[in-house]
Amino acid sequence: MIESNQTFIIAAYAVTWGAMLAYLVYLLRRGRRARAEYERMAPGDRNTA
Amino acid sequence: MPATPPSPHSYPPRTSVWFAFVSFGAVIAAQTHAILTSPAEGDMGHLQKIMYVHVPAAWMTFLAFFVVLVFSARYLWKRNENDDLLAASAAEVGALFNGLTLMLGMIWGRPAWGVWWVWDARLTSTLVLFLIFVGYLALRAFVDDAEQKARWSAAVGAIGAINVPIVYMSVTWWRTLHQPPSSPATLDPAYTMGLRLNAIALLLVMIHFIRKRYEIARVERAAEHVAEAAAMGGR
Repeated sequence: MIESNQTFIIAAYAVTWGAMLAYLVYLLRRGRRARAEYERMAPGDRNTA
Repeated sequence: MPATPPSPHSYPPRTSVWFAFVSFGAVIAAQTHAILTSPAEGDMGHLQKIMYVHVPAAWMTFLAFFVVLVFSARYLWKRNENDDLLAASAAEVGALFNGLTLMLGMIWGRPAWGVWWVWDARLTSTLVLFLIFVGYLALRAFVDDAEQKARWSAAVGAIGAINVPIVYMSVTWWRTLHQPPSSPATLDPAYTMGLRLNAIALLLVMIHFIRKRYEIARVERAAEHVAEAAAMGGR
């Protein structure tokens, strides 16, 4: 019982970290792509506000 | 070659990398503290440790959808495009935490109840909430006109967020297999600190995700504005 419970506990933390890290990687890639696309369309134009 | 005129849409500054490190570090610290210090619970034993990820994930879902409600309403009132982008960013992050809450609930439910899923009020209303926001994101993916997309998704976001109190109160209003809401007020003091720390840590991660997603949405929108201006011969 204890061993099988440990499996579920490990699974819960693994799913949590898997989801968070997968989304973080998604954000990093999409952000890099978005900035590259903007740079391609408007080179040097960083009208930051 | 003439100088490039400034974009009609502001280009956002980058979100802090340090904030990301601090937020993920806080999750590691909070989870380590909770796992090492919380005693086995009387009925569930160490399975109780799933609470430190399941309950904060549910709270972040509610908070993210509250942000959706606030900025959707603000968009409908002021028609500021950035409010729409912020609401959409919070909706995506909220859907992530909502899906995570459902998954963690199933992982906890299997050993605790003997089943992965039951169609009780809490689980079903949480699934409905998730489907509403998946629909919200699908709507944004399929509507091309930016103004129409913003208006429709603000309406769906505001209506969807109204489901949050129903999810929260479902365990009180209906007879369910799910236990009453876990909070520091209803918990044994041995588990309170762990739950608080994990909630704060996950809040930091959620703030980082929403800020980063909002930054990306603004860069993408700025690129669209440049493209629109170029198409109209403005550049």
